[in-house]
Amino acid sequence: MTDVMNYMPPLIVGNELKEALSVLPHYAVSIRKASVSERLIELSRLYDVYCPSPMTEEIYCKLYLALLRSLQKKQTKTATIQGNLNRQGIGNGIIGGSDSFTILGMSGIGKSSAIGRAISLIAPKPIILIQEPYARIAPIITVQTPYDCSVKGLLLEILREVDKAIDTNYHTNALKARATTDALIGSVANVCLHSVGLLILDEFQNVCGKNGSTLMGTLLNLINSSGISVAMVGTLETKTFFSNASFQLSRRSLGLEYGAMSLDKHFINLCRTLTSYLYVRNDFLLTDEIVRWLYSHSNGVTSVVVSLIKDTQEVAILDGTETLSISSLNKAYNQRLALLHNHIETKEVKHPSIKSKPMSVHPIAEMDAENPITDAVSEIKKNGGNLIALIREKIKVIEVQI
Amino acid sequence: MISYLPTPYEDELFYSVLCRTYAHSGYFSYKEVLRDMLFSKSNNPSIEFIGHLNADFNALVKQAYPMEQLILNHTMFPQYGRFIPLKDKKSALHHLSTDYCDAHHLFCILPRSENDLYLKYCPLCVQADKDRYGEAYWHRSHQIRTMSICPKHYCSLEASSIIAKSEKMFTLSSTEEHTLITTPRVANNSALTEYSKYMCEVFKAPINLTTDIPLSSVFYYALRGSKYMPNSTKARHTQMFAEDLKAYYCKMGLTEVASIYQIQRTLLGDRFDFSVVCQIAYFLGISVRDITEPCLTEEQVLQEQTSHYIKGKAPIDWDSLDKEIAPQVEQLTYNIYYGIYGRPSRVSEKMIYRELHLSSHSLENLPISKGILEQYSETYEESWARRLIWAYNYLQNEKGAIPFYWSDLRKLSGVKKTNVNKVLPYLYKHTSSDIAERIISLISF
Repeated sequence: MTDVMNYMPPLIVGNELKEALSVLPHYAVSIRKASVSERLIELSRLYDVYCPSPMTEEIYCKLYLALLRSLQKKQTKTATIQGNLNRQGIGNGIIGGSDSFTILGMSGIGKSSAIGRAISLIAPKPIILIQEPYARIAPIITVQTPYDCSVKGLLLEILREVDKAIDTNYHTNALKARATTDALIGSVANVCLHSVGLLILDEFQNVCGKNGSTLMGTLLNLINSSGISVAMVGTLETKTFFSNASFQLSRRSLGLEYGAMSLDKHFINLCRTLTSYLYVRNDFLLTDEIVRWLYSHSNGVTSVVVSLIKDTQEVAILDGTETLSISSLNKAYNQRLALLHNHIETKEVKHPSIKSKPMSVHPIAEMDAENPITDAVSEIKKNGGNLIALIREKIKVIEVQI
Repeated sequence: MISYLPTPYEDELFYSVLCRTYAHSGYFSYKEVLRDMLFSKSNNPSIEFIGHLNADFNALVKQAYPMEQLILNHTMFPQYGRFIPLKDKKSALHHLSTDYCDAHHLFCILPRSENDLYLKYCPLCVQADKDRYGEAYWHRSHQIRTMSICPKHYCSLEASSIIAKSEKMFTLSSTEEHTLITTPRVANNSALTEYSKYMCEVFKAPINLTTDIPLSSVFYYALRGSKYMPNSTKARHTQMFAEDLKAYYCKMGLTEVASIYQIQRTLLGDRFDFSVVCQIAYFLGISVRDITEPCLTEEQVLQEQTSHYIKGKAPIDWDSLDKEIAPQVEQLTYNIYYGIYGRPSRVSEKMIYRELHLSSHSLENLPISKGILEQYSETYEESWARRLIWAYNYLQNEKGAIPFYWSDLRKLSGVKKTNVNKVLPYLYKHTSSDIAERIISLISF
């Protein structure tokens, strides 16, 4: 397709990109004087806040270039030949995959949010309309990898999403025709060849299931027969699948990998931005101590940070303390995020490279004559549970940074 | 909704564009894609024209490509419409562009000969198209009737397995899947090759939509001075012309040569069949330009039209004819209606044409006569009622006191008992209630 750039927005970089990616909902300081119910409702705006990170910028560039590459391959002579081969059911993939890559990262670090923001910039319009030859192209299609690794399920899901995007009837026709998987592959390949720019497969860790290899093989076939770019988004456990697979599959797994954030200026900026959305009545000052506390209690996972700040304010509003502080943060951490304690504290043990350890400002308490530590250990051995949390219940604990 | 419509290639049939749309779509069967393209389930894809498209697809096609250009450059319109009178040509183009009209109502489309039953292709064109575009397609110029040699590569055209009649076509069959022969057969017939090139050039020449110079005038000036129409006489030696033409093309190896009847009608401007016109024009040495864009003055055209006796071809003065035959029409309709010479009947147009030796549809040009006819128009039921009344009165007069029955009435009037219920209301209209009731009692008995 000639003049692909006419159909795509310009590639943004630098500060302009950061500004474009940011989402900062409207906030008025006067909300702090509003009623409890109004503030609680407004508090949910914290979930709308988005601060772009280097990860977001990388994802944006990757997706943009993948879409561009895919569009360049459309309506060429090779695409025409491939379309006819697909129609005849000949499995030769002469057009080749444009670009298949992975975006892997731990749960909660913001992959899907980053992708969503990137898509909103790369594909502001839902359809790319080309006049000659006439074509309606859905720039980006996102589907969930089936939990049961069903090949047919994935192919039908792709058709359904395409129908939603460009107002066609492929999915209905496929169901009516009771198409076999082989026929579906040809059909989906042709649909993608002419009508899809970039395919994003979310929750790709589902491929680690029973029929994962079959699903991956089908995906490779689809990539080679349609020439579109495919982005596979999932958690880090997908790495295991690819590392144990053949070279052919592993080759396709090259891409972006993200772990938790480190305690850097981006994290500090995130905390500053989130805490600027203050809904408690008392003032708040973000200190280094609080930043370190937030980092140690979230392990650098963005979603946990957001939940911490949001839930802390919620608890503070509800119980009337109306203060955002380390004690209220601790309270919310203990009450609302109890289920995450194992994951966060377990990771503390496994990743000793994290410089700061969890801190609290509780004063040192006198030891109980009954030796609560021994009791706590015995109880844990008997019933299981979290030792530190149990000790905290009995005595006051102070933690210091080594 | 169709999400992809490929650009038509050079000299590609629109039907081939639809085939490629299907091939590159994700549809599982042609039925689904035809449902999204055509007006109804009972419509066929048209091979030679655009076909009856549904509103959405029609709008999509018009949005992508100008319909008139599509018809002129990607259908067989030049074959059927090039030589017809300008008014008919424009009308046909208008109807094909704006509303669906069966091409058989717009042009004279003759039955296909054996050699033209299937879509044709050139193996070398197929290869060239694949090299250039990545896929082959159906060329228009290969589908010209009687075309047997590719005008570009000079090899024989091969017949595919795809039937060329639209009425018998229910699928979308692309060239990719139905062109099997790859080894070309070189045509060692230079004369036939030249003639094929000539036909192709005439076919592809721009359609003249401005001037209306009759074909008969073009042929007149081409014939004049030749042995078929010497300057000294006004008559044409059509028999000799037809024989020489036949010998010429038979020697060339053309399988379907125009008959004397076809030649006559074409020379007189009655018929405009593309292959007949090309055969005559090529035989007479008329260039492509002269046959497609003739340059004759009005005087020359008039001279041709008055130069020779054309039996029955003088232009008809409809007004005079209308005034002349109006009394005859009046008399005739009266006689038929009231049954002067027998049983009264319903007056129909066909009767008028038959009795007065007029051609069909003439009444459209004879408003006075048509008005007279309309005065006597009635439904079948009303005419049956009048027949029954006439039959009753006739039997009453003939038989006198002798009773007669329904069977007698039935025999004379020809009205079936099953239609009697429809007739009853009209009995009271055309006769007295007394007689009407007597007739009803006869029917009921």
